[in-house]
Amino acid sequence: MIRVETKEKSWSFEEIYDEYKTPIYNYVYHLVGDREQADDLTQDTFLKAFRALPKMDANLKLSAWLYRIATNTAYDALRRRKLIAWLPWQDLDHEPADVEGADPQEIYGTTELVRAALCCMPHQYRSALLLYTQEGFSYSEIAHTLNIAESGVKMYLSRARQSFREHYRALEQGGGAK
Amino acid sequence: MKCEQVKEFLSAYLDSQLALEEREAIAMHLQTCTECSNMLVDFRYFDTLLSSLPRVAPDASLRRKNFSSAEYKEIAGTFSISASTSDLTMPFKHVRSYDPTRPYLVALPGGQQTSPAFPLRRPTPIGRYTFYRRVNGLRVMHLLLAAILLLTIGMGGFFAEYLWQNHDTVAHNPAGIIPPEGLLQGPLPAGMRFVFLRDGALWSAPIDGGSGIVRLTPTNSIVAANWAVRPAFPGHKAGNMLAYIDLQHGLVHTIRSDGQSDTTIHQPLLKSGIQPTSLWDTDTGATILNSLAWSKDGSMLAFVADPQGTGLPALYIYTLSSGNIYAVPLPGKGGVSYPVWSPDSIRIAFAFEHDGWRGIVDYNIQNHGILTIVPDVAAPEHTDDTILGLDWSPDTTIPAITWSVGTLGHIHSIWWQRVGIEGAIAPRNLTKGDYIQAIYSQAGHNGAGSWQVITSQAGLPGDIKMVDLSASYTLLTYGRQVNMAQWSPNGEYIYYLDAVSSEMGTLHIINTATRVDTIIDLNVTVDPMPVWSPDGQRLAYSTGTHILVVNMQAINAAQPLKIQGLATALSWSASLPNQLVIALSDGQQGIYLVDTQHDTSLQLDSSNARGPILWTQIP
Repeated sequence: MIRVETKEKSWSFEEIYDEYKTPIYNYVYHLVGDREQADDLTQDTFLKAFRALPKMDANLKLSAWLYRIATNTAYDALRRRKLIAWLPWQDLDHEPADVEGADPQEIYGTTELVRAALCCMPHQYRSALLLYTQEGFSYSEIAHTLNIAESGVKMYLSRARQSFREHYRALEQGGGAK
Repeated sequence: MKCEQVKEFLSAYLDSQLALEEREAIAMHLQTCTECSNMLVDFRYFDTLLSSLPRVAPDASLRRKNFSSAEYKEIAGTFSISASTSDLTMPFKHVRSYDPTRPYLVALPGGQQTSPAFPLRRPTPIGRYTFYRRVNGLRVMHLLLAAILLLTIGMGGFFAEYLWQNHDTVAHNPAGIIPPEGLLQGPLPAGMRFVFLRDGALWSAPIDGGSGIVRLTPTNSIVAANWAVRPAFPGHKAGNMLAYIDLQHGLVHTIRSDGQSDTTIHQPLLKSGIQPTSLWDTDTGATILNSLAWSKDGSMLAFVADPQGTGLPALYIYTLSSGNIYAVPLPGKGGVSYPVWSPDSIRIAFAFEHDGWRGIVDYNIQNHGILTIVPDVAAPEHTDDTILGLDWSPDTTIPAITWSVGTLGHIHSIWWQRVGIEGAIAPRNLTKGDYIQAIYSQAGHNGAGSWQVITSQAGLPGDIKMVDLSASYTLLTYGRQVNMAQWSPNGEYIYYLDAVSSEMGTLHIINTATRVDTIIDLNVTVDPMPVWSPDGQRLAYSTGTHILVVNMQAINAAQPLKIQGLATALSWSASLPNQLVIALSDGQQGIYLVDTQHDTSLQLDSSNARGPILWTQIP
């Protein structure tokens, strides 16, 4: 069995997968907003990682590195999809009813509004905001994952919050922000 | 600063990422600008929404797909992988197709405040590991110091004892900073002192700065976080004895508040031969560390221990006057946790888990009767539920206990039951639901005992409901997102933090009798939490840059203190109504004693401290 040494411990690929599959999947899912695509991207992330791992230094911060691969893999996918019109969150558990003039919160519910607002944001801001709020990363962990300076994280989060607020409020009013 | 500039800084302000001057400038602007304040409130609200977004888990089929993929086999093959994945025989088809077992939304623990599933931010253990390394390095010196200490205690004991019984006085001796003394030589002088944990030791500080901060506990011990001060005797303001667990040797100690008579209780907490450090991070270790319980009259100390190494901790009671210790007889083979003394110190209730049942048992100290109060608390629909809170009704004529049942963040029910009557009646259900927090206060409901619970709205924090022991309830807030709430010690008020994000929220105080809700401040820290004075008339809180005090008699006018900085701990004096201890970490790092009435402060130490800060009295 292949084992990879990091600072913390010695891992088999299965152990790495089992430890990180859920956080990585959750992160990727919220980045791309599509479960089937999140399946593929999670798989791609781990396969890329497994391929590169034996060449990596033992001082590697495994979790941040995995998030970095996941982020880049998702960005690639989002760029490829850019020309396709975005249909937000249609694979939700319930299809939004087509009721004109109804309260958007009633059609979508708060969770769906949050997801819809997320998907309207530029993806680099989205990833910073998700890493901070969903994954509980610190500024320096986000900097490490997104390969930017900590001052950049400050700027990203500021823009991200403003952008999220703008889109959320617009969706709440029943329209989408441009 | 103009609004446009402030808006660029608000996000970093929310995350406490600004320098002191910038923070102050923003805070000042926010006091007058509604637009920017609204933006900050929105940011905080959206952070809460985002951090409580349901987390999603991949379906199990994804694992199979991953490890049976041609690509994985190729990667593994280049490194001659062996049997570990050979059981995965399903052929890989990297074809997008509809999968009925596709991933589904599940509520996993997650979000900024609670992300146990994510390894980057595991809560730091009590900090003992770093300390061990130091201990190893300094072993020789410490042995020497320990020998000096033992000699000192032996000699000091002869002449110190008579001081012990004398009545208390409070010393007033304004002085400058006295550097902390390394090791306590003789008994500390009579008076009030506060005690805190730093670097694995308990330190005691005077309220006048006169005799300096001294180390109470011996150098060869490492004190665990859940140390406890004995309740105050009638007519006294604070207890005169402390109990702590030495992590190094796995033993409980008691020590007098004047630093004398450190006594080891010779009941091993763990099986002999087991390295204590290997067990503290286990469930059994946590149960033991959380178990120290002084009887209300201060004559006994209860704790749980697992000297057989069975993983089923037993309950022990130590009597201070005789030094006797005995194991409480149990109704069967099982594990004890969470012992709680009755107000009259005659009974002790505890959680008892055996064969998958999670029950509550009561032990009577006087007649040694043992009574199973509830055989199993878990309801059929919530099989993972355990006892989360357990306490006594304040009425000693009709002994009764009350407890909450659920999992962390999901309290499903609260109960009440009389204790010690023949032919026990069924427990009374006080409320059922899905609550985020449930906190009991014996002082609540005019001293009859009451719970306050935080309701949950679609998984998000909701409003506060007060539920008394007769099962009647009152809704205290409406349309809020209460993240945490605390009773005042007299049960008259509850403060709560609304719409918390990035560890800051809006502070409100509710009068539980009139239900009048007052907004106190927009940006208040969760850590340290606001702190009630012992009489419940004052509340101190931190905004990250300032420390403010609000008096219940003038609830609309919170007073900022002159002393400023990032507070790490706050503690009101047990004896003087306007005296507050503040520990600061940045800028003016140190421990300060503040007279909140005259707004003057005295620096006692130049190092920081984290809570809790507890008060002791030296008679």
